[in-house]
Amino acid sequence: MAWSQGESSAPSLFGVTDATNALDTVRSVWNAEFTVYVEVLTAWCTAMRAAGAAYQHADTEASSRTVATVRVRAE
Amino acid sequence: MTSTDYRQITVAVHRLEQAADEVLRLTDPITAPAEVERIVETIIDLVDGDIPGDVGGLDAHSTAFATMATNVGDVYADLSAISVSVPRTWSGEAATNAVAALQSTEQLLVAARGALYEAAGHLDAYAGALPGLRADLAASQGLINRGWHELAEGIGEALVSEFVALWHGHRAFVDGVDDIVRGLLGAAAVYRRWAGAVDTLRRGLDDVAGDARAQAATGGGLDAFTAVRLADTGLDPAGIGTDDGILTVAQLTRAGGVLGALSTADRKTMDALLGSASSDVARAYLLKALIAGDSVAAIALFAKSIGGKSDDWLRSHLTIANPDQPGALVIDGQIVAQQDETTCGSMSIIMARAMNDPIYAMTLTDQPGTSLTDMLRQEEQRVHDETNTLWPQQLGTTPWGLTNVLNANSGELGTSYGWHLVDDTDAGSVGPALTGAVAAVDAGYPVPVLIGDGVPRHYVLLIAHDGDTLTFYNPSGAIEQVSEADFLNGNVGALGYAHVQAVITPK
Repeated sequence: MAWSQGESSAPSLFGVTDATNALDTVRSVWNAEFTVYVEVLTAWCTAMRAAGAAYQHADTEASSRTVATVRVRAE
Repeated sequence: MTSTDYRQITVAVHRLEQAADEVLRLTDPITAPAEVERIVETIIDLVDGDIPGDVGGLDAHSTAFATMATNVGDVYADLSAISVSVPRTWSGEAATNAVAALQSTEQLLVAARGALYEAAGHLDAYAGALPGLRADLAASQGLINRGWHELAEGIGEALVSEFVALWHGHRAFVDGVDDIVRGLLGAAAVYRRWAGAVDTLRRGLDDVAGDARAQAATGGGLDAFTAVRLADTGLDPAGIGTDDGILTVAQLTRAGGVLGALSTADRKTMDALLGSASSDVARAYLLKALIAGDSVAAIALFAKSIGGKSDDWLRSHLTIANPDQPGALVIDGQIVAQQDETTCGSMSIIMARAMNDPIYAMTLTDQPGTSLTDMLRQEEQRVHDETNTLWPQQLGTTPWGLTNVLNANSGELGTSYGWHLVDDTDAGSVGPALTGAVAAVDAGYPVPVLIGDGVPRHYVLLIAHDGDTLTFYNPSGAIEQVSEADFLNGNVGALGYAHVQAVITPK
């Protein structure tokens, strides 16, 4: 099972409402906490993708340099 | 048993003890079985029931939290390798902020891993306690059953002859009553232990919930990047947990709303002050002052005053009591202590305010031409005059006087308080008191605690909670720690007096 599975714990897990509520709060706030971390990391990934897209252009340049190098060698 | 409220457990203890008392008062062997039947009938749900809880389910939850903690550890390891830079498409100040946010996220993941392991441990401990409780309850139920049969047999024998009635009947009566009383008191003890286990679990889970700091800030309206940086500021990886952040969880929650409520001009000024702060720590203190209710004009002056100060200086002079550093509390060579024997309550109020409002703290710790000791003496006297409008000052501060002054500063403290007397010889009194105090401090509100021996003697201020450790500012001039067990068992002598007599907690 996942630590955050389900919106709330089964009442039979503790049989005590207060304990059930306390665990639900832990799940809820930590789900929200990881969502914040994910948002930060998603922004970082977006920047990485943007950098990756720019790199394709650099790659093209690199491959054209390789052709030139081959030409030089052939000569 | 269906899901029940915690209060019902403490009521169950009381009902069982009351029933035992009634059985002890029985005197007639002939009517005893019927009487016992009547008494037991009133508590049949308790003597026939079981301690609820799904041990397998709790184990599965504990394992799931531990697995998540391990996964978070893996993410931390990956992030450690990449959080030193961002792609070149991210440049200038935005890149600096992004790197700072990544590094804050990395640090918060360390706290997250610890919190999730802690949750796993609490669930595991609770699941581990249930079989023992159930076995002990079953044994008590067995005693009650046996006692009732002994009483019933006593009647049967009494009918055989007068001699048997006198001898066997009486013996059966004594044995039966003894078994039933032991069974009822045994069951009460089991329910009491169960209440204690639930209390411990709730305190532990509250602590874990209080460690989720960044979501408090986004919940209040801040963006994710700002949230992680503010949430991380001040946390010491080697410290007691997350109660040492510059902004408390309660303040992080309020930050977005307070910023959003500023006028356009004030928001512009505040943004400029935050933007030009020399460090994240300085920035957090500016925001802390705003959350405490200080005006933007006052914060501008404050920003000027703290310009060029090191993060260590800011920490010691603006938060004053650092829960990570137990021992004598000394600033610039002067001990931060009450200045006479009747002002521990005043000093607790001063410290609670100082921990929430850095501008107030700085008026005490950095007043040109006046020593910290002199400032404390003046402020203590002023506060003492406020708390003791009728009560003689020589007798110290009453809980209601202290509560009134805290409530006069509720905007700064972010909450209003109420006082509760505590009897630490009664688990039903001290258990909920500790749970309430711990929930408050986990949420970021300091809690004054009145301790004493036969009578109330001294106030201390609960400022942090991690695991089963409670950290106090003691107005005698020190940061001191006691365990939850010592608090519950009337054993807080390390703070000056052994018994807890009242707590002043947020309403």
